[in-house]
Amino acid sequence: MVTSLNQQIIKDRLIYRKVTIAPLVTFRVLFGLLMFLSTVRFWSKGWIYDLYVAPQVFFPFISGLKPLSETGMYLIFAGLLITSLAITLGLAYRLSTTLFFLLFTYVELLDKTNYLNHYYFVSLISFLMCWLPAHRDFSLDIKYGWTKPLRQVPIGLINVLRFQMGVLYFFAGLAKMNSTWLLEAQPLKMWLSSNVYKPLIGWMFQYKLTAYAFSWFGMIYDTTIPFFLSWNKTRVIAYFFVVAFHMMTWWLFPIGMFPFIMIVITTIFFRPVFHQKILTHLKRLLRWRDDKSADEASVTPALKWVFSLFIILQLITPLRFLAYPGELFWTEQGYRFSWRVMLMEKAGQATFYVSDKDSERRTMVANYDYLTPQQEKMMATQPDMLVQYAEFLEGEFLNKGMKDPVITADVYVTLNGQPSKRYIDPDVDLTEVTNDWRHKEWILSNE
Amino acid sequence: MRNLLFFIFGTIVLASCTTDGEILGKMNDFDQGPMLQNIGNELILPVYQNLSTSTQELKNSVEILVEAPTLESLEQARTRLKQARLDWQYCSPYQFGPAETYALSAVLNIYPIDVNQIERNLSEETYDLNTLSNSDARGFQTLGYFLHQPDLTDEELLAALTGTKTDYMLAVATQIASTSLSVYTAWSSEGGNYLGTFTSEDAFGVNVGSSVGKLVNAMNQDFERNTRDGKIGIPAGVRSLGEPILTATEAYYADYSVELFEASISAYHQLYTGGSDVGLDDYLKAIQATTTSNEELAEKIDKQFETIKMVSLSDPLTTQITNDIDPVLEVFAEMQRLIVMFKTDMASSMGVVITYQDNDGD
Repeated sequence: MVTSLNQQIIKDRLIYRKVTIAPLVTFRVLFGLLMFLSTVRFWSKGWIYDLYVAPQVFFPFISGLKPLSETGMYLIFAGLLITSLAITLGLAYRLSTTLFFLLFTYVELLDKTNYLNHYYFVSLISFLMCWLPAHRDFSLDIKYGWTKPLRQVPIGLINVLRFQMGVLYFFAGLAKMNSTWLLEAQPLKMWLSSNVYKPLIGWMFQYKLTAYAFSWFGMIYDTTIPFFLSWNKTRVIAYFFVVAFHMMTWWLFPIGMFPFIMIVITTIFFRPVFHQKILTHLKRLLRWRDDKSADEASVTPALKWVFSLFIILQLITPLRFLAYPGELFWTEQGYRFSWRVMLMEKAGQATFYVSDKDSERRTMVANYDYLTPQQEKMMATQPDMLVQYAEFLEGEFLNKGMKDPVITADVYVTLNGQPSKRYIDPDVDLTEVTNDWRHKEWILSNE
Repeated sequence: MRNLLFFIFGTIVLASCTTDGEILGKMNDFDQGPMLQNIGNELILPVYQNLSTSTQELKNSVEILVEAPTLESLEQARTRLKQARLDWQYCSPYQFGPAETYALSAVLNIYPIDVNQIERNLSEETYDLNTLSNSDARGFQTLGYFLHQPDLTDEELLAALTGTKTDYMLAVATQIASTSLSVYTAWSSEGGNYLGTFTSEDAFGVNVGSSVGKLVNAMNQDFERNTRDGKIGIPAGVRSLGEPILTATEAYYADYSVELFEASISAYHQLYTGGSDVGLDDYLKAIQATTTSNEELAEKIDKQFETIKMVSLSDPLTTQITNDIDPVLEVFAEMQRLIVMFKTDMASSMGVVITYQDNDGD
């Protein structure tokens, strides 16, 4: 009886309690703007061409997925610009969020070379946005009378976003709990020591203790920050740490927009009334007049199912590496989609050999004829990409008239400053191996 | 006070757990400044100056040959061509900055050349060597094509040097000399002072745009494509099912390919050791504390250079490939080992970013 009452209270505090819709609205405005700016930046750097038009080979997450023509790819990014603005304005919100999610995710699935945790994060957030009523106040949809405003929403709809942020941080911290990171301060020693030339505090980076301090602080910060952000008493100081931490990483490492995205959207942890104040100011600024009529929001069974499934998947996915034998950082089986951010320094060199079956004569592949430097670098340390490249080469050499190309590779990899070692079995024919979620036995151990 | 005690306690615990001997020590004392000064002032600038001088002399010798086609002037032009090619080998690792802007490598040392295109140009008599269609119809090898004709005696060769040919040779030699001069001028402190950019504090570090980043990326790329594949691998048939492609040899029309190759290796070795001063090897040794075994790595790379130099090849390379290919394949394999050390161990422990794009390192 007591427990069921407690359960009731917990359920109420986490899911059903009604709060102002303001946090969802400010989140919508900020997220849309950030995505718009990120896309403008991506475009202006010429990366649409460099990453999705120029390469001859791609490493898609889904077999057979290919980029569109050059015009097609530019149209996709134009679509991202339009939908991200539409999200900010709350214009045709359901359609814009859904389109944004689909277009963005399509682009990210095209090439594993460009996989970044924060792109995955954007995909997840935009997926959640499709289901959230973030357009039900202070939006063009309301202004045009396409939908009725909501004053309040169940707090669960805000908490699901907080959960996603929390998962990112927490698992990023968990991943840092390994002896290399904590007891050897690697790879931060390698990364930080090259920052010794930075102004003002560069001198700090010549000391090992700095690397240790950063390693430990990073681990503790990541694992605990979602909790400190959730707690009223510590939230302000915690947010100060969020800003300081991400500005530091931005200053030290080439990580693009990620720090800013995190700094801005971590505000979802602020109390709903805080968002309401901001929203009231915004409304006054833009002479927004509230409609008298309003709908009641509830957590529909469909939403419950979608979010429950989502939460379960988010908790399982980062842990799936446990199902594989061997050292995770070495084999990278179960590495992606797990919030392992800035965790290891890995470099490799892969030389591919092709010969026709039953023939002694073999030829060496010049990777630079087919791959961009970035693709070559990424491919050399990730087994599934090695196989995908071998598949591509098989097609090339079939076209050149080979009957049954046998493709092997000499791969050497260095992890966190250890001397490079042979990475995969040099005799295994990479056209004959399976490339799915099953364990790849041909990866050699890092002993 | 409590925090301080906690901090001290934490450090002691950490120090006792970690395998790191001197946790309170420095990661390294290395200063990139002197290394970049040394590489810039003592290695890069002089080799571009040499190239600029020797290509100018090459151009002069071609002019003399054109005006007075004698056996002496022919011999002189051949000598100058060889000298310019040897000097080029020492510039080849530094194809970034001005060299990239002027596409120096593509203007000077493209091989194999497109003989059909050259003959077309000769018969049409109008050509622009700067266009894409003529990118395989210029450079040292094109001059070599005119100056070395194994099927002809020198007298016959001289007799065949008609007006259109001599014009073409002059155009090629002029393009080589002027592009080399442009690159040297852009590097020199009296000209574009790229040397200043290269050695400036703003370019310290290893990120995209840093001098060490550019240097390491350029040398990796050039060594793999031009020294390993271009000079040895492709002619030896490594990329064509073991079927040698002799026409793809550098200096195919002359007979000093191996000499050029050896110059290239020693250029790289010189860059690595920094000549008589601070080089990449010292850098690697100095950042020993940040990785596991750089001391060994620095020596391993040095030894690998020696191993490559130990393999004896003799000119002409085409004959060596045809008669006794094993040492050629051996030297290729040893270069392959060196590339693994460059591209994985060295680049990684320096933290050099092998890309032009932001990424979050995962």
